[in-house]
Amino acid sequence: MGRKSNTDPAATLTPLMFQILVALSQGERHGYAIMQEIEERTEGEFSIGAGSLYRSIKQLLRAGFVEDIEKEHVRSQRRYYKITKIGKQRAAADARVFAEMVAWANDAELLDT
Amino acid sequence: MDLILRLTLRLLPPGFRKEFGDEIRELLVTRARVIRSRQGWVGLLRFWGLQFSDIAYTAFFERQPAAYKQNINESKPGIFNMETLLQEIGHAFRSLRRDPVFAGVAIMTLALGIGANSTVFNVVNGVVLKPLPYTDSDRLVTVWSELPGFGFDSFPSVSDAQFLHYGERNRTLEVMGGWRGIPARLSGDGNPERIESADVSTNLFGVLGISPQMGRGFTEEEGQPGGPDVAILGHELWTRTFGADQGIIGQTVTFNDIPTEIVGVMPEGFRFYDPDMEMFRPLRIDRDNLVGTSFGIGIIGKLKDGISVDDATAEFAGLVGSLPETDPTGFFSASTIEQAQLKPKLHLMMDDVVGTIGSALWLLLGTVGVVMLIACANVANLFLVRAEGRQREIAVRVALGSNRGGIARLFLAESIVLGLIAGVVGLGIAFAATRALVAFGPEQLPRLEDIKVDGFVIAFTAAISLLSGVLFGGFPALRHSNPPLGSTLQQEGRSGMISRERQRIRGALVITQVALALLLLTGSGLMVRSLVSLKNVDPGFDPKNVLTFQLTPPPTAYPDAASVASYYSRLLDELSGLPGIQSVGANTRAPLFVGSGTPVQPEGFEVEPGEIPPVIPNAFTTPGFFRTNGIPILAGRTFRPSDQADPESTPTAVVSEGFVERFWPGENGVGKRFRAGIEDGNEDDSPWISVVGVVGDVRGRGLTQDPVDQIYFPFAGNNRAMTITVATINDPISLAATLRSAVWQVDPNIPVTDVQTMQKIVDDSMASTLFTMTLLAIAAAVALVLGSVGIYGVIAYVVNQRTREIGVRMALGAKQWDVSRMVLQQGGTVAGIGVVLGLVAAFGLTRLMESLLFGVTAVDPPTFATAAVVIALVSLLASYMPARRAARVDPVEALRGE
Repeated sequence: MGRKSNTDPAATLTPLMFQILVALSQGERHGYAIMQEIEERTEGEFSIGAGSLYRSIKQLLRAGFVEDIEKEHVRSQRRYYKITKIGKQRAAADARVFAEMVAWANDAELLDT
Repeated sequence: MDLILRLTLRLLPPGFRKEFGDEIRELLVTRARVIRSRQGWVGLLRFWGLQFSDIAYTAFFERQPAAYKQNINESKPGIFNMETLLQEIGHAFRSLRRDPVFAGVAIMTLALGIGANSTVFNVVNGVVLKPLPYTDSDRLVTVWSELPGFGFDSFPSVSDAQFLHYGERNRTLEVMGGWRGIPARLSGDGNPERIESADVSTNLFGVLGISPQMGRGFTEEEGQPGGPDVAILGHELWTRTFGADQGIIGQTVTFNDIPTEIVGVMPEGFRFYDPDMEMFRPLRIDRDNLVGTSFGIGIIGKLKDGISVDDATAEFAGLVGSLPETDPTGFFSASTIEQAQLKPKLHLMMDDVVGTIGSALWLLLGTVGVVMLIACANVANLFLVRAEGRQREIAVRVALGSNRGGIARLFLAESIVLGLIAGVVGLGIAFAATRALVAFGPEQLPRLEDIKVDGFVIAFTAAISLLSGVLFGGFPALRHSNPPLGSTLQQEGRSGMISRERQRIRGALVITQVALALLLLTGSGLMVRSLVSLKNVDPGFDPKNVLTFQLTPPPTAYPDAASVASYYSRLLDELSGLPGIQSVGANTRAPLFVGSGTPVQPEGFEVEPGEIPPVIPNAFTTPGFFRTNGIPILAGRTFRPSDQADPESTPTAVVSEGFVERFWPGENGVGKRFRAGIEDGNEDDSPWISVVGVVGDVRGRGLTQDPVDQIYFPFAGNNRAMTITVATINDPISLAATLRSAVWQVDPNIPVTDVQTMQKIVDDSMASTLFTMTLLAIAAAVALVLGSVGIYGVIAYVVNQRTREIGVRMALGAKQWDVSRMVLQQGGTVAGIGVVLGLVAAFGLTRLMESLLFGVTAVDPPTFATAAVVIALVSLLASYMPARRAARVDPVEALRGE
């Protein structure tokens, strides 16, 4: 089909993937904490479906942006996820693009309305 | 919810589910708890709605071929913002409005299924799931006793000695209280009232965690022998008899002729373990005069945290060995306890209250669940038909740039909207049906008051509505969101070909429907057979035109046996003189109830010293009892006045046929003798009793149980509470008022209670079978209708699609009959496979209802055969109509369409 994956360097991350990466750049987290954090940071603007969340996590795992870590001392089957070096680079790159776009939108006085 | 969630997660492809399924489940369950506490039921419903649809979405994308998989931008996954969802829903509404027939049929079909499910779930919720209205009710237990050595199955009480012993020694219960039922007579001004009351240990209300609404509970001192006579009223009694008198505390009422002070009133809605109990007095046990033989005390205790019922049962069983010798000379010495193999067994109070009706209710929930599946299959079929009709619309959408997600969303939004509308209608059905069920349900259905539509039931309804939407909408969403673009647009208008694959899915759906309908039909057939067997059981007596009621002359006015005897003799004379009465008789209890037993030693039937003699139920009877109840006299005679006049010097008895067969097989029994009430092998101190007559066996333990051997002693006033039976010429109920005033003619101070026809007593004993049968039959009928509609729909559709082919065949010389046969064959094949699968399923599943059946096995061949034939006939009928239409196809017309 020749389509590019969203995790390709040239493609944009989906907002959810971006948010997951941002959440993980603050430290290791399990799925619930990621969900909670995103919902809180966006003040409930985004309601996240658990299915979609793990689907994105799966794709981020496949792309090598995120890795899961086994924690022996954790009793539940919750897995903790950790952002990788290239994941961090990628999130930062996207964040810069967003920042530029937001700055532009600000110049256009979009945010004032 | 967990089950529904597990099922929904199965939509996900196995690899994904294996990797993330548990995590998703744990996350959602934790999250749901938070949402519920923060946003309440409404927020929770929204949450689950979103999550279920999101899982369906994820499943949809994860199941796509690899090429599509990673391309997420296309469909905006992950963020399900409310706006898009609302847009889709608005679109779905408009689209459904354009097709009102489809929408109407789909909504009604689903609403029926959802309504049935909510109704039964509502009952299950109220009766089985909701905790009992007591504090820590999940830890409340009762103690039952078994005396297998005496032939007694378990009964829910213990002896006074056991009660004290367990109370002092057990370490597994946090607290333990006891109670004893006392039939009581409240008198004062107006008619005397018979009520059920309980003597309760002073801590018992504390065990249940309920305190009186007015006044106080009992004090320790009031529980000591010789303490003051005080009582607490139940709320209903207080309202009914005392007009909710606010100043009732401190007043004195006459309770069984004892002036008793009211010290408290229980709160409204409080129901005791035995809900008949309306008044409570302190339980007093005289430690110095314990009687080991009476098993009259019910125990209610609370398990310590972390202790299981089995743990506690084991401990109690161990305590039996150390029971004190309470009655060393009497019947219940330590050695008798050993022979009787006394075994205590603890039950969760919830299981006691729910009783056997629980299994019937779960069966019904399973049944309506099957009806729901059939309804979903039907609607899925409708949806597939509709989707096929919309192929062009879909192809155009795709051509215009709509993507797979968009198409899937289109179908899912429509099906979810349909599901939710049907859910609202279904909830309305559930409201109405619950009322009807509560009104017409059997009186034995416990906790009727707790059956109410609550948040849990509404959440259940919402969940099955959504789930059904996802379930039946999922088929077309998966099937049609990937249309072969070019070919669809080109082929439009040429209906000569139908997709084999789609046909196969629809065929499978119909096969499922037929199989499920057959399963339900078999189940209800078995219940019908059970009811017929029950009706055909000979109870051993004739309930027609017999009225019964109970009397208890109080000891104040009738202090001794002679006065009681003379009261009853005057009463029976008075009653038999009334017009319209054929005969009257009195007995310790009505025929369908078995009384307490007495150990007997029949002549020639040796009991080894130290061995326990057989225990036979006995009753005190007046001569008219047998004739009144149509119990046949097989040999000898009934009692004469002389038998009643002096039972001490020449004791006589009438025994049942079974008694004679058991102890004196081959003889007619008249003239034989036995001893009764033998105490611990002391043979010589009780007199020989002569058998003067033998009567037919009566099924004393209920219609489903074997007849009980029975001894009838002549009534001589030695029993105070008696059941009077009156045979009337016409409808007995019309005489009830006359009989009551005749009783009060003799003594106006004796309450007449439990006025019932014998027929009603017999009918009541069949009520729960009738109830289960009726509901199963309704479910089966609905299933049958839905199933035949499904077959009809599929066959009619096939005929429609093949009109051109049929036209060609007929043009080439096929006869009308050939065409009909071809169509019928197709319907027959589908039905045949369905019937076979249904029979297999029924064979496996009807065993689950074994305990509800009577006189028929769970795999009764005639029932299975009948159900299969009915389903087969209905299926053929459903295919016949389209077959006839096919035969009338005009080849010219059919080919002209080309």
